[in-house]
Amino acid sequence: MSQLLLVTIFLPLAGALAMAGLAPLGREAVRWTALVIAIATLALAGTVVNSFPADGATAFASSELAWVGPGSGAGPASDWLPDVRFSVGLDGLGVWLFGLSALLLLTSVLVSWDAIQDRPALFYGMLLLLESGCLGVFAARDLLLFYIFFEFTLIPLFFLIGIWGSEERRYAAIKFFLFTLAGSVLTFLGLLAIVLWDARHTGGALRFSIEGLTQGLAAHPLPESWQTWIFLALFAGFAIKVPLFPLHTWLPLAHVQAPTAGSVFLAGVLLKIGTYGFLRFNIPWLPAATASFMPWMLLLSVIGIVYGALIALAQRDMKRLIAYSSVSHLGFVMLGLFAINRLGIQGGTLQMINHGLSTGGLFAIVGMLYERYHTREISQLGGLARRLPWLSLFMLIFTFSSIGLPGLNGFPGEFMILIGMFQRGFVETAGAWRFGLQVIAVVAVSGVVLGAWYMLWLVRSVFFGPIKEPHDDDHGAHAGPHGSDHDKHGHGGDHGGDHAGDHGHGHGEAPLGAGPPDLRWREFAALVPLVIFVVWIGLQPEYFLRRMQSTLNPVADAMVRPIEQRWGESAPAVAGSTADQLGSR
Amino acid sequence: MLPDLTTLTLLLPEIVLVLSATALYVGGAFRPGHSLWPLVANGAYLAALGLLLGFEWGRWESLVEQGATASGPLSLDYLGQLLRSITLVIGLLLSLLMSRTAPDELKTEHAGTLMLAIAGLMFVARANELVLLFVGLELISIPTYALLFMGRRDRATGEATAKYFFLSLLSSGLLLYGFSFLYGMGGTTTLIGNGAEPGIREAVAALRAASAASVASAESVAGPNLWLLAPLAVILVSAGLCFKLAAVPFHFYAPDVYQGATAGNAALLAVLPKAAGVLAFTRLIVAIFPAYATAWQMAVIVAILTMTLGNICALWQKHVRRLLGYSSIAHSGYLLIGLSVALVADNDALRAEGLAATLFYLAAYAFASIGGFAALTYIAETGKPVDHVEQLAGCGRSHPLAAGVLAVSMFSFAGIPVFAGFWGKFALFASTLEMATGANYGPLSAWFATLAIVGALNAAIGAAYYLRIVGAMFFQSAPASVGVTTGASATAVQASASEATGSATTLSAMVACGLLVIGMGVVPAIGFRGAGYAGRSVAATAPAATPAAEAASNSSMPVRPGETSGDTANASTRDVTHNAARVVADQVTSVGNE
Repeated sequence: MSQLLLVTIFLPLAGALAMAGLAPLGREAVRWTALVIAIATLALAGTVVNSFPADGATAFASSELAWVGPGSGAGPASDWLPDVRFSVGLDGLGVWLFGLSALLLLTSVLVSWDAIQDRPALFYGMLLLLESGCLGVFAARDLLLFYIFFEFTLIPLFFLIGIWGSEERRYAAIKFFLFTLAGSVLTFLGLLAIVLWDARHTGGALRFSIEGLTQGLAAHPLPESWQTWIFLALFAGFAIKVPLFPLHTWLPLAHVQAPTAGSVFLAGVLLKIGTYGFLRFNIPWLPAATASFMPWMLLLSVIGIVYGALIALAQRDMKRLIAYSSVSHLGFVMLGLFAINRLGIQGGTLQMINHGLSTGGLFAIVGMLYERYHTREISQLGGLARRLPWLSLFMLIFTFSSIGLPGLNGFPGEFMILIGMFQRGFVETAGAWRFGLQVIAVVAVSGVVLGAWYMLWLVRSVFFGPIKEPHDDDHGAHAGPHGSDHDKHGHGGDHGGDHAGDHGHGHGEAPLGAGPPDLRWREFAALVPLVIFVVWIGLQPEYFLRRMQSTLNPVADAMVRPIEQRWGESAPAVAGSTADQLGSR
Repeated sequence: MLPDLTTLTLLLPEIVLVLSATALYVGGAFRPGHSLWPLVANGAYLAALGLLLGFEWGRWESLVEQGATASGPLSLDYLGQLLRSITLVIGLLLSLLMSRTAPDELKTEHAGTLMLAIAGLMFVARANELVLLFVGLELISIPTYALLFMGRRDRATGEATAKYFFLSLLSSGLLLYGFSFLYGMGGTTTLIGNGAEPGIREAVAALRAASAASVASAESVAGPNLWLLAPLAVILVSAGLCFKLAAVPFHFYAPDVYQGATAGNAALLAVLPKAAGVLAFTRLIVAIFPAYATAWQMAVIVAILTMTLGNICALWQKHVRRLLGYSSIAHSGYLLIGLSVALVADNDALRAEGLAATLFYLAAYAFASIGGFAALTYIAETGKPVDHVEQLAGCGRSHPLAAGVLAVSMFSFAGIPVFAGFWGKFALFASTLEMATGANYGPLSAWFATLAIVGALNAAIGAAYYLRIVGAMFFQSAPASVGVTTGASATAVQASASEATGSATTLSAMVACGLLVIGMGVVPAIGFRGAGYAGRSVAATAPAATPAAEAASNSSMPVRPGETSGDTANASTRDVTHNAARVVADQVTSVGNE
């Protein structure tokens, strides 16, 4: 199984390299190869995830190769080299995100099938590189390896947005890259500081094994002043990635400019790296700082929830609306994680998967609409349920999933998060923030209502009511205020897309006049896997939660005491002891 | 009596280069354009590299085990050996890169001159003597003036060369003035001696101890207190070397000169003087003045100013070579991070770590620089002018390979995994943070935490302009094909681009650099190992700092409990090193007889 995991991570990488050789063979060869690799990756990842033990595991299918440091090559003694290993494996936190990454690759390849005309080999190569990076991030069991995968995902997405994006793609790509990089270099310093602390106490060379560091930090916890600084350093990178409220400005821009596959990946997988980082590193390794920052994190999360939802309500562009809804939903995830109890953390983790499925699906559908109508303006479209019944059905499913309709996946996630938050505010915390936390919990509920409002408004305007569709492409492209999104590359590509659609796969003759066809086989194939999981998680969340619990519950349980110390009834005394500690340094 | 040939055998690779250069000069005058000359030009590097790796192969292992065996004018340590090998690789790459752009009638002279500059850097790598070191530095500078003129003869080049020439002379003067103080303090020109024949290092350490003792006991030193010359020596030598490194405040020539030079010459300027500067700084300041407050504080401040100024100025540049000129200034700041850690460290391990990080970073920077300028040269050879960043538009489509290598170089400069630059930054930040988070460093922590954070933020600032270059190449279509986006025209563009191809030599230099940058990133262990041994070989030769004395004379180094024991421990390791040195010195019979 551990070999299988390595193969799963490296298969897309090998595919990306193969794309360079396939480029001269033309688009057909390239995209079919990409599809085969995507299916193979999904099958492999499915096998690995499926055999994950039902009651959880901490290091499933793990394997380790020396990279730098001991054992990495011949030569005289060199125990001073940093001990970096290529060490991968899955645990309850990473396993579903790992599977999600593989699932969304298939969707991404299929939604790009006709949309990408320009340099397809480079496109699919970058997509596969991105996939390798994402799989690696969630499987990494070595701190530096995690960081390398984390940073490496920037390069392929940078090219995906920059080459195949819309009008402002260059600006969006650079802004996305710089924002993320600026945060993650500080994260890098924070992680290094942890490693150095550990090395000072173990007395050896720097070691980067996440497991080893967890043990090391348990034996020698970081002093509180260190924790504060390191928390802030890690926050810089992860909060930008999530993105948390004041740091979210890069996200809508990147989403709107990105090609569909880029948006699917960005929303589905890459944002989760931020929340994953918080849960993997901040909470277990910096308990004191986490406890101190908990109310502030919750405050930022809830501001993100409401702010994202309100801004989403004001949008006229579908993609932008969904992008802001991501800000809101990721706020929910963060709210769950930083409620720091069993329910909250489990719900937050489940909601990471849910958001990946539903938002990934929504972006895919907006991409499909754009291929048909060359517009994403909500005001230009209407009544499409009669034109495109299948597409509308899928849209409805993902919408309901996104707003948390019971029976679909959004419900258990949001429900657990809110219960966890109420528990935090009304039952568990007694300190000065008690009332504040209660307000946060209540306000967070309004996010659910707002979420339902903007999503249902979107569905009503676009899919119901009188039929409204742009008459021809040019009209559609230039009528709206944002119509200039329609850039030249995209234009050429879309014509080609329609062409291929009409003649290549004459599946969907439009029922009413000469409208665009309904879903084609490849679009079904892109959406159906997502829907399967949307329904499955909705009906049987237990199946998914059980596999996470053994990893997540200890994290939550370990935080009970630090929170009690910081915010419990005896908080003033604890504050005094903190001052003592600082004084003694 | 037969002359002692040991020194000659130790310098065999350098001698091969100098002889080949002479052959090129003389032979090229009689048979210009003969097909033999390119073979000689490139083959000499390979031959020298073969000699270096093959003939002295056995010595590498012993160098690792025994640390430095400096004695006489040559320092037989791992640092020198490693840097000489890398220099030869750099020489080969530069020679390949520049062979086409050199004017036809000066081809052989061009190749020979470059070869002399490379030999100069190799001398610097091995010098353990003030005069030899200075001669090596000049052997780099003087061919560089000639090469700058040969590259292209227009007004801009003339101005750039004149500027470089005069400023370089000024810096040589400063350096020599600093050397005179070093000589005055040490009474010898040997840098690192041994117990029997003390060099400048031992003399300076003795002066320092005497001065500190006199401060502690409130009695004046017998005779003149020569230690008071230390700030002058350190500042003057650093000033001269900062020019080589293009560090603030001696940086301002770099953008002008890069802009005026050809891409090949810019690569030369980006690599050779910087490598020489780092080496000389290691030999002259790090080894002789360990943990000397004036030196490390200056290094930290200069590092912060240099990388910030270089990066911020580069943000506004539109000219590619000018931009890369500022970028090279910023990278000097990074190199100084590692050097300042090595300077301040009070134990051999950390000192070695700082040096190793600097060396790894230097190698990563050198290969990425040459790769980037080679890509620019290659694109220019196909008839497409590349002076401004915007002129790179569409290169991703018309020159995918060159654009790929340039992108790899830029990502490596920006420190993105998994390219070489990432590991360089990793090593630098790790050593800096180790200093900042050290248990007993007190106020030092703040200095080095600041250094680490400024360095990290600079990595993000730097990425902004590197991405601008990548964005121009891949995200914009070439100006000629704007408005025509059908597939047919794209292939037409490709076809027209493939009509004029660049030369195979430039192509090979470019691809080799790209592979080296990726290879060092994917398999960093080899590089780390080499850099680690090199750093260790110098760190072990540096005399143990006298922290007690330092603490007495300088309040920013707090007195720490239990340092006397550490001091004796250091002293004992030093003795071991010296014994080892003597053993090897016997083996390598009387290298140090001069």
